[in-house]
Amino acid sequence: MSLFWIFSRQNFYQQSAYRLNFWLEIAGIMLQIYVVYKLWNVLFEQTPESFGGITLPQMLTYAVLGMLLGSILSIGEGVHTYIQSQVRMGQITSDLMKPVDFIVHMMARDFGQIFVRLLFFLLPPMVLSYLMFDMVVPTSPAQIAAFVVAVVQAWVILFFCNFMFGLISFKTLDLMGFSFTYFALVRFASGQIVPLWMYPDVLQPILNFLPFKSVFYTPLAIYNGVLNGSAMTTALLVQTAWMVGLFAVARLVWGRIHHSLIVQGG
Amino acid sequence: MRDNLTIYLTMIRAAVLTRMEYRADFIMGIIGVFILNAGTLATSWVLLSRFHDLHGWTFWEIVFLYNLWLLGHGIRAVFFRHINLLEQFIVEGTFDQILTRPANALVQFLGREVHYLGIGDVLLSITMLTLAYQNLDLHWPVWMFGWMVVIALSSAIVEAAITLLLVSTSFLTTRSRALVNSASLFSWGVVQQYPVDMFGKLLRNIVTIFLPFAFMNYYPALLFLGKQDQVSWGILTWYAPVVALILLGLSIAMWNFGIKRYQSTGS
Repeated sequence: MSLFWIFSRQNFYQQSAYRLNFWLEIAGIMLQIYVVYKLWNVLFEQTPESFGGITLPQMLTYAVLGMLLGSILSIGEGVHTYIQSQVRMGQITSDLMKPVDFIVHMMARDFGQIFVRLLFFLLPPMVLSYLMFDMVVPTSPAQIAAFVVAVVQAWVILFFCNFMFGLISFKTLDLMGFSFTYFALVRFASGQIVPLWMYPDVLQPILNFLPFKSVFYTPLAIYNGVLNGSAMTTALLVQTAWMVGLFAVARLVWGRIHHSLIVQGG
Repeated sequence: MRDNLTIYLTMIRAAVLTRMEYRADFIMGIIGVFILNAGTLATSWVLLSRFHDLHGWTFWEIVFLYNLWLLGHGIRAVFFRHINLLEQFIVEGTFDQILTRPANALVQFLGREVHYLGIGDVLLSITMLTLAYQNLDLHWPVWMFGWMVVIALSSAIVEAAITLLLVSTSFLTTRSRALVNSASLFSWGVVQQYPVDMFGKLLRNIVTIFLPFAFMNYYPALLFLGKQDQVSWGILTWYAPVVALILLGLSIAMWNFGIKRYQSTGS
């Protein structure tokens, strides 16, 4: 466990080094939040009946929190981009030689980044958003607990998806073309921007079949109160199942790749 | 001026030949660009199939808006994508190589690379603009197609010039990435896919005056879609080329200002 905190400390120092970057990134996050806030306000004003019983504050909470969670649950950058750059520079050997299991090591790295991003780029803009906008808060301790569990599980699921995606670079040395596809797919199918219940019925079976629903939709819908009671429990269990399943597959795939790995001299 | 052009064209030719070495990468990249943009448009489609229109803009009008942006962005990406990398050039010392050669530094910097991924953007946007044209049942007079070419070039210049203006600060500070990233959010996070009038006065003023990305697609689209009479600022639809020229002048001035004060990092 201490390994996880070592990476957090390292990241903390890295992030604190450039203060201007911090303020610019916060400004960027606030802009994105403002854009979705405005978007849903306009749509709600036009046709409130299309929201199916959801109040405007509930919808805004979903959208704003979706942007906020985006700063810790990152699709564009993460373990996959780390693996890719290490493979390309030929430095992956130094990661493989460390006396720690590779998956655990990568998780600890990722955790370190996320924990620091949580402190720097999730909590401050979240406080600002609550000051500026009319948003709902979870009503019971059980709902808060379920939300926290859902976020942690979402992180693990996204980590294993990213990890396995990153393993492609062991075969191709590059992710360029694939990463656009991956980014577009996860962004579309996770419900980060538009809640999944608004998607057309034809798409629902596909969305249910993919793990990405568990990444954004589940924690967000628990937080704004759309998922509650037994549906909430089911969603959390589905997350757990994905977590375990993806872990098993990742172990298996990594075992195979590691076994047949030939590292060229970089 | 003439020398500069010859140098630029020679360099671009070399850059294209280098790129041609990697064909498989090219095809994967183009497919990737298609899917990435399809993903963004799919989100708009989901929204608009449920809500009919967004602040008076229908799905195909949003498609038009988005792809007008993508056309300008794609043209700029082919030739000037590496403007964003000035900071890296400076930190790694590559920029000092440029300075030792007896030719204009800006010309050498701009001619250094071409980026094939932009071709995917251009192809896709032309296809989607054509589809939008048909679906919206538009009937433009002939001159408007010529105007479209002018607009495509000026939006490429708008994006390139704003970026050049901002990265030139790295001559003074060596760090400009965070600044460029936050500024370009106003481009791909705001004007790209939303009609900017829905955001209210403040944000519209920012993308009109301070970071005039709205001249890449929103203002020109008002004319193309016959919306210029529906808003009080419809006249601005004609000003994209003017804005592009002003920005070009400003960015070159900023570049010259920065490079005079430039001190190498020594790496």
